[in-house]
Amino acid sequence: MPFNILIVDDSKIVHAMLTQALEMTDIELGEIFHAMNGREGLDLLRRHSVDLVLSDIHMPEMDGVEMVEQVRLDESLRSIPIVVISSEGSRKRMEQLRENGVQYFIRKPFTPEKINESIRQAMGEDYD
Amino acid sequence: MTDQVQETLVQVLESMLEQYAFAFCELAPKNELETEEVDFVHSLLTFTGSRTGEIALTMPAELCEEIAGNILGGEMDNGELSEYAQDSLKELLNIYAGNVLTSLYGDEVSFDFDAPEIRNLDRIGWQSLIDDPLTIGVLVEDTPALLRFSARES
Repeated sequence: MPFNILIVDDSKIVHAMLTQALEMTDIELGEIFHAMNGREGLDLLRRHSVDLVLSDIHMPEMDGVEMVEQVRLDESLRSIPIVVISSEGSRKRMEQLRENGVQYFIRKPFTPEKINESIRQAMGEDYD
Repeated sequence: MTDQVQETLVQVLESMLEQYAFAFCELAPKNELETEEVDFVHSLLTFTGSRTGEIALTMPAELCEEIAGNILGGEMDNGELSEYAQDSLKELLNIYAGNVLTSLYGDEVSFDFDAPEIRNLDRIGWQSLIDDPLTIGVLVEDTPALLRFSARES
């Protein structure tokens, strides 16, 4: 079954890098949706069927932490796995994200292998 | 700025450029920062938290395109690469900021970053940055680039 993936990041080059990295994995891709901040991400999540979110933290308008909080408050969205991709290494921030159900965290700069591994973990049984 | 802080700033930049853009970077004395380039890109990020400060990276516009090309592979033409050039510098600064602040202050503190600002510089602007005592010179793939870091306790 192909996976629909949402990329949320305010950098165009990160969207291009993640799309390339996803295409290099053995994941069967469906649609890749693109949002430039958390607000756009939430809007896309409410309008489309998304299997996994890859999101940055620091973004204008609505950051990744607030988007994750909003997703977890929404009954129809709360089960979607979210992988946070950020350059930040703060334990406090990671704790805050874990409290909101984010189990997967990739530190920038990332490699396609790391993306593949985290998606496998995040998707669990659905991946196989 | 102590020698140890400067060493950390440069080491993290070397590591990030290698991992993010497959580019080689080394510390360079200021008298080796002469360049024929006339267009430069300056990216500045401010952070707040246990410390407040600024991090800036400045490089010739052509080097930004080279970095974007390294990141995205060789299949893009120059028009497409120039579209990504400034963004590649902004993202490098973002990645650098997150990693260098952890290296300097540990992972027990967290920082809030403002989105990096980008502006174009001419040779006068480039030279005035070189003259700034807080500026550190580096060579990225043998092309001069500038790093500037300042922080104070909040």
